[in-house]
Amino acid sequence: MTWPIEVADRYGHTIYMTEERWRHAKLHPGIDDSILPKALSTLRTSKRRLDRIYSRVFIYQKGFPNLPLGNRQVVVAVKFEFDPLDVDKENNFVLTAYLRH
Amino acid sequence: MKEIYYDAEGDILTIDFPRIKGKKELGLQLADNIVLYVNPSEEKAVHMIFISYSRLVEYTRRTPLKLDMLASYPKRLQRTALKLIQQPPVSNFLELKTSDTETYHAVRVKKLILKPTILEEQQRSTTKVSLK
Repeated sequence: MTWPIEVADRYGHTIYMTEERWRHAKLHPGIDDSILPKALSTLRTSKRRLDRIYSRVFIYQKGFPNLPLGNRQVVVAVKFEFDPLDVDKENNFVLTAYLRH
Repeated sequence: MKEIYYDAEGDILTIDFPRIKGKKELGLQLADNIVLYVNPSEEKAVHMIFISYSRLVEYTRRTPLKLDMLASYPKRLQRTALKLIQQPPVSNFLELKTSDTETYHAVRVKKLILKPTILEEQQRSTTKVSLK
């Protein structure tokens, strides 16, 4: 695995995840490296919704069978920004990921 | 002993409560930015996540946040979540604001004093903190 990992979401936005952000996600119940492919699939294929508190954060969410600890969905929070050195370039990155019932 | 981590880069507060691991830990999405993990059989809180924590504190100071996503869960889990929110340790972080006229329960997110406890942790963006 080469970090950072880049994926394109269904809307064509490039999103990257650093190893440090994935380590943060692993603070949360049931998240380990076996969940990483599901988190990336969630980013690639699911619809996003806007965080109602902070308009730069989008939430991606997708259901999977047999997730750990009785949970049903993988959720990935992504911050959307523009590169301060090139305002035409997006700088979108994963903040964290977690499982929900 | 509970462990509290504040991630400055993501503005994410994570609280881990003591428990025996390996049992069910259901992540109940109370609202967009708040997840409460519960052990449903023991009716215990095991973990919490606050996304955009500092903004949540400011926002809910003015307007309590409706727990509108809680309604998607079975009644038994809704009751468990509401019971846990009203008692420690969860009530150290959330204050339930109820109104008979409202369709949804709402919460205010409490502001914590975030004090790093481990020097080496200060060099990381995820900082272990103590609750003062």
